[in-house]
Amino acid sequence: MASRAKLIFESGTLNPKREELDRNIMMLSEMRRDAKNLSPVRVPMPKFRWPLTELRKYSRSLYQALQAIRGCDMHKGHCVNLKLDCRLKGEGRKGDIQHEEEKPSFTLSLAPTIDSSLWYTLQVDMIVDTPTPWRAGQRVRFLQKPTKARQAVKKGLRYTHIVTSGIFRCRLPRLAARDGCRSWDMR
Amino acid sequence: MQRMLTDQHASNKHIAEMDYAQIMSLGLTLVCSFLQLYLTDWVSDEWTTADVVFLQQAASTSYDSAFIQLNMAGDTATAASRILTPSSSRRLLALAAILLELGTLKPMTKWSLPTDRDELSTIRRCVSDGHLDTEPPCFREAIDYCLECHSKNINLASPSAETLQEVAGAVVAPFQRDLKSLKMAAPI
Repeated sequence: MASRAKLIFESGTLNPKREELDRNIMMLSEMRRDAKNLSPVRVPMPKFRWPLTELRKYSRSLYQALQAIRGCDMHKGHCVNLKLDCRLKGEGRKGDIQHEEEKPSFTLSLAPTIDSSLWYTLQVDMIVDTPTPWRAGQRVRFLQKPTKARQAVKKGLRYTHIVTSGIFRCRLPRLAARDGCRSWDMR
Repeated sequence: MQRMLTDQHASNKHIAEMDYAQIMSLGLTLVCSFLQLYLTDWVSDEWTTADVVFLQQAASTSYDSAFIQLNMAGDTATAASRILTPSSSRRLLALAAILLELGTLKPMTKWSLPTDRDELSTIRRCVSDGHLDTEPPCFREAIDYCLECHSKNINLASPSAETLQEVAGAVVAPFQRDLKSLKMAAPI
């Protein structure tokens, strides 16, 4: 008898809670259904129009060009980094994601050692000529960028030295300035 | 980046310096860069947070620019062979691991348990245990997709335009969406 009274008492206190829980569950279900129905309208899937094939071709060529300096004793321990870039320009008229430009530029940071406090940045605009099998790695050309940055010419290569938000002191990278190394002598 | 996540003292300092927008921005940069570079030698099968570096300026670090290191000590012949036989599936798993570390701001070593068979099982367990549930959903969505591609062994070595669109939609679009939402929600 006591246990039955206790059960009645408990169900009496629990019922309002259960009803509230049911209401909340129903509301959540409705909200979930609405979100599912409305999400394609609110967030249209953007179309990405990157020239990925071109980007890969350029970045491979750059890698091959840089790889050539590995075997050179002058560059032992030197560090070369490639800046990671989204290359997202923003949304187009129809919500499409457009690529940055037809022929992208790459930004490299260079230093004699990984722990160096002074890094040089080098912006590289690339044009890859029609490759020939035996000289594919040598047909990368570094071209100038029409900016206010200083430019220099070394062994037929033109470099553009840019200052990145005043963070890095930039000048002609020693890596590239060594005339003794043929690795950078790409024409 | 690895040091930022593993070194406790440095980690606290760096995490305090970074806000959600910067973390998601970095995530967006990583996934976009991955799509651009995963078939090149810039990204290897063993791509980790150790390969992603930030440059230091005096006492602070600039997180706006992330770099990937060129392996200057590697063997040229090995590097050339990797270009010819990229394991896109393995690289997707590497991306998932990096996103897990960035999303949770903890290194893989802290997530790994002795019962985990490999990195894949560690990532799966972290996702299924809900360790990413408190983070922006973009991380979980992108990781889920990477794991799905890996489990189905989807070959991205020579992807069609439709496949690339699908991959970009699954890993890039969530970051864009969440960044946009964050900017809209930010107090004026």
